[in-house]
Amino acid sequence: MKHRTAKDGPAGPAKTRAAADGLDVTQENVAVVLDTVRHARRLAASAAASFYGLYVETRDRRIPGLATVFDREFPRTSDLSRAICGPAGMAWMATRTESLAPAWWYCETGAQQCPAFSLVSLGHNMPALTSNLPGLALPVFAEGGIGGFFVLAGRDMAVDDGLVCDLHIRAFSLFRSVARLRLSQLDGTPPMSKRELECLTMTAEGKTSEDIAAALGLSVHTTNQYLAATTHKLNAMSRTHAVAKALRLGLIA
Amino acid sequence: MNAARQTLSRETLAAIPAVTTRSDLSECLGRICAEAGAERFLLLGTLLDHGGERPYIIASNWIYDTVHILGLEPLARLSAGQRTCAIGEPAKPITGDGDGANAAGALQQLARHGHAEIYSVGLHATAQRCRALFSSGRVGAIDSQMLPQVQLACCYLLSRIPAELLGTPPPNSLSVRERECLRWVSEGKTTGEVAMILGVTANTVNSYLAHAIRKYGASNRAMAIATAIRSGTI
Repeated sequence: MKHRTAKDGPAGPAKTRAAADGLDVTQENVAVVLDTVRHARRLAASAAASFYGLYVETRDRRIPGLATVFDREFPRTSDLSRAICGPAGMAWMATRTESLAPAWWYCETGAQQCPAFSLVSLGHNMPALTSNLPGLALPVFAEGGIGGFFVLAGRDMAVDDGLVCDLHIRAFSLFRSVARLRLSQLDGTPPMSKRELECLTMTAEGKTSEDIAAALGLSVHTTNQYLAATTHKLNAMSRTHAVAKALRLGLIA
Repeated sequence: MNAARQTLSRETLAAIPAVTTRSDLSECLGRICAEAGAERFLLLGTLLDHGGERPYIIASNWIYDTVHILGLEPLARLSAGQRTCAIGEPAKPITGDGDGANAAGALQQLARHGHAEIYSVGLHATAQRCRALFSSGRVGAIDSQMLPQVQLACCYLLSRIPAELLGTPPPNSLSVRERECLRWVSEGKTTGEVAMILGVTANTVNSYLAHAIRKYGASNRAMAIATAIRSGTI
């Protein structure tokens, strides 16, 4: 299997988009990525699903949507993923609340022909994402409130409540490892000192430089220097931006 | 550990979708916890109040005196002291290490009130940050292998209960414009830039931001943005 590296040019429009939103495979992270994909494949196998895909919420666009991290056809992107990341996924995201409940869909040929979810009482039915396969969507979250979905689909899928729980827990771990990759990829953040993190945390609590200086027994000038250092290290435009970035990266709670 | 006790029973899982009220929630939680060997549960939510965060009880089967003696704030700090265990991460009991002297004292006090061992896990369900404390009177009674399932089941349960019933403010009390402004500012844009992006004047942007700050009871932009990110609004 040949993997796209940062140096390779885009190999098609679909790929370029996936690279922009999803996961860039580089020499540093290729081992973790392959491992995660292998885990996903095992997860799918335990539910007898023929399709699996991991999707991450996109925040950088004005309308919430999903982007493919990887799917069964990794390192390419399948048609089903394109459907999930298209208008169908957007409609799906718009109706979604913060709920963690799993959602499943039957194929349009009729529920009786798809016994896959007759044993599942957890979660709820949702509009079909694809007309020819039943599937299951598990909402997942990672540090910094990044959300996404792990999707399984297949004609022969067989799951019950216990398996849904098990799959969901494993999907969480899967998503976390990928979310970490994406974050470290987006920001090669240099390590922060204890003082810098303290100042940043207090700034997130609405404290001014004067407040922080008084609380930590520093001069206002020193406090400002610490905060300027964090802003610089996080490659942020302003203090507020630095706070937002640090929270999303999970540097401060 | 008995191998047969590794997963929650089918009956318990099947009872989750039937939960619609807070009393159902408590009953179902009791069943779930009992299966994992936890005698007591305490689900804590966080209300965003003027000037800070205030913990409140979502559901609990603690003897109220214990909560009263220790105080909700110290309990919330204890549950938040260590890095909150996310779903799928192996659960470890709270030891008080690195959580300051107060944590150790609180743990001793809890042990005297029949909470010999306490686990804290993070929950994803509402826009608010929630945590659950599971405890038992005997060290080792809780099956830590089962806690990820218990944790997930708690999230499913909370997803069943409407936010109003949980006493949390509606997740998106900000208007669309206020949220957009906050999001752009959190991306490092200046007021002028946000004004240009949204096609409004800088004064309008400032006014939207001021509204957002007031709604959150925040003291400035940084705090409003931190609140919005923590609650998952942006």
